[in-house]
Amino acid sequence: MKKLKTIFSPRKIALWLFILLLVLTLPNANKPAMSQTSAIVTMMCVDETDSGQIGVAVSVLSPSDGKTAKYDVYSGEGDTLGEAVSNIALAVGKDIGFAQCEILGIGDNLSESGVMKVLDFMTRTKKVGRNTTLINASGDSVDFVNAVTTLAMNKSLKIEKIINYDERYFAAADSNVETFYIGYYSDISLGIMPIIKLSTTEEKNAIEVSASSSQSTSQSNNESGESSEGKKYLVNDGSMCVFKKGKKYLEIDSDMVDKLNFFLNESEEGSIVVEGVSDHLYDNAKVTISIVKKSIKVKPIFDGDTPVYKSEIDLMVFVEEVGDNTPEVNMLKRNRDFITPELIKKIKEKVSEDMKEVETFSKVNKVDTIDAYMQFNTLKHKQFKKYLERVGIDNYLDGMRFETTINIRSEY
Amino acid sequence: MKISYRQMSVLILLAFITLKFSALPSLMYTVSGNMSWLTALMLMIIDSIYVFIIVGLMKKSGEKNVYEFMTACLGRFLTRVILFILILKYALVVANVSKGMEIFVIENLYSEFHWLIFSIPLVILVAFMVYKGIRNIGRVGELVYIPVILGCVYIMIKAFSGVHLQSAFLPMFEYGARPIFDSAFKYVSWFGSGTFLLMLFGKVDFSDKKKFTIFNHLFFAILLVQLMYLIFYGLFQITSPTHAFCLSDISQFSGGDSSISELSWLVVSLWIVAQTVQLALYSFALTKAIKYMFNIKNDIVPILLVLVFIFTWSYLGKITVRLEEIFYNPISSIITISGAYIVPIIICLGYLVHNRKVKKQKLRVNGDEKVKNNI
Repeated sequence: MKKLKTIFSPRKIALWLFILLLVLTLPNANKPAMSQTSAIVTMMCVDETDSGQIGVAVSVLSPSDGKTAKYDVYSGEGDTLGEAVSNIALAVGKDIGFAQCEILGIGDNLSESGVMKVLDFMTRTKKVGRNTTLINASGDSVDFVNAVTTLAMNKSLKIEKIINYDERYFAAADSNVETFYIGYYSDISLGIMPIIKLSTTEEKNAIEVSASSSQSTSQSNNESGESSEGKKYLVNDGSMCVFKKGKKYLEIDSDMVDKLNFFLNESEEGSIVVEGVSDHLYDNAKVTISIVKKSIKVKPIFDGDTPVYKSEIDLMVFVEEVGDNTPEVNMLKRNRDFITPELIKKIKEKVSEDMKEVETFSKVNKVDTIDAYMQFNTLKHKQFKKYLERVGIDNYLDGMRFETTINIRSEY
Repeated sequence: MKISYRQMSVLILLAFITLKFSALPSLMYTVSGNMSWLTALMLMIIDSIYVFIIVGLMKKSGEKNVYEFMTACLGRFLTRVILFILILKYALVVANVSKGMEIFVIENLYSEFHWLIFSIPLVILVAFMVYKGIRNIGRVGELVYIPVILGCVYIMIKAFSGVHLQSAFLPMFEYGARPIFDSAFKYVSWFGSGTFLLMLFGKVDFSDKKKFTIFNHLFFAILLVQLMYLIFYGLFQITSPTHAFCLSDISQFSGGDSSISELSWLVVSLWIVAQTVQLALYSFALTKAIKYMFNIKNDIVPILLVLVFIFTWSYLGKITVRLEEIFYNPISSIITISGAYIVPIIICLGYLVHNRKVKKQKLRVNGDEKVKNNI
């Protein structure tokens, strides 16, 4: 018994367990470094080719001296997304890890045929993070990844920075896999993505990406011969793409997105131009107003059986620029002196007009980008449910009334 | 070796929060939707009441351990039955915590990670902590709880801007109150957090008690869990069931431009330490319950049994997928309800009846003495 106690003393047991641990863990020390066996994807783009196959292009971070990031671009095709990814893995010669992927671009063809299968595969099987930014990548997928990679390498400008820069102005930019899922699985099955175009012509809000450097990042399996010819531009003009039931439904241009922003809490800043302002200070002037801060309170109510989308919008404004027939501006005036009653009236008219346009756009296209469904469904659930039973889920915007109160305040 | 009143409060707090920040919110969402926070609130309030009941009994027990106390109040047979139920309850918690940690570290954190490399050090660590006694566990708890709480608060603040508050709460009671109770019954195994206190009878020093210490810690634990759930449901809304790791998913999702924020992962690592404390705490309770049940003199044999249990559980988890179903089985709910909610009531009633008997006996003895004196 005494002998048994000595053998099974806590110290001896701990020692044996420690030896066992060493035996199990030491073989791992002989394994090659993870960077030798795994490749990290930082950006990818998926699209459907003309032959009906799935094409994938990825930007892979490759080990370098540590001072500058180096990326290689690979592409592959397959009957399924899994096959295309496997083909890339074969070309790279390593396991491909998608957990660090920051941008997931969905090509035009795939947007039209449906994106959910791609998102499902990438998030569940390939462990792409739910906060990965989603974009509608307009243009050839390989060229697109090349352009974005070149941008990151040569100008240290990441595409998500370009999108995030606009976040305050374009609520559509706040689109990632998670928000897309939430939209898709909601009752109205709506999702949005910002559109980033790859263009060969210089446009407004375009960033030049030199083709020569783009080619240098390509690998032998990159068949994008065309990408090396001429200049390429990445264009983010703030336009966005609306998806219904996972398929591309319509595109909203940047002008409409600007107007839409009045309804959305996420966008806090912006600018508007009012024309024909005439009073003691202005003479038929064209005034550019900067919206320094915007907030909107939405109160969904029912007037009898009619749902009323009641909103109160507060705008803190600043006169940015005065053009046309205005006499010389007195620099000694305070900012708030530029906000005259006439100008306030004009601003209110302009905002009201813009919001009315959004209302009409939403009703005509049956697209609820202002989250009216969610507002009524959460705050007036029972009445709204009855209303939906009466009019149907596709027509609920038609009978909805919009009432807006606009308050203008001047920045001191 | 006794723990202080404050250390006990800290252990209660850790027991209340650690298991709640893993898979529970996503699981509950499948039954009670965005009303799951009400399920958690209801069960945590019930758990808090039980904490006060058990602490009250602890004070009455004096220097007696739970076995001595129960034997005196309920007799040997009933004590053994209760200990058997408690062993099942503690084993369930130990299995749940170890499984949660394992899934998180082996399957989520690393792409290739052999389970033995995780399980063996964990088992050694738990064995050491249990062997060193409750004071060791209490001290570790005291060391980690402030960083863990600060970390959780940091993650919540960071994630708050993306939270959609309306969706976290509304619409309320769309399908009535039934789903709340259904979910409460189905996932009650994640609750009953104060049950470990039963094995601390005679091991808490009540002399240094400050007013409201337990109340403050319980209140804070409930508040923290509720805020975390509010953020979880407000952030992920309808996709909540797909987020199996509450704390890490929130921290990863609110990581900003980068998909992984380093500080957030530091917090998540601290949370794993808190889970280790919880595992050691319930392993300690399980060890003691086995010791009392089988009347074993030393601690080594029950500790070895617990370690074999954790190890076997991990191993079985690798060879069969059916094992995890035990947590969602009505039997585990019944075990938890019996161990966490019925047992303390039985002990309490037993004590009251026993106390009454003792008082009556004293009165009778006093009466007899008076009669004798009069004669």
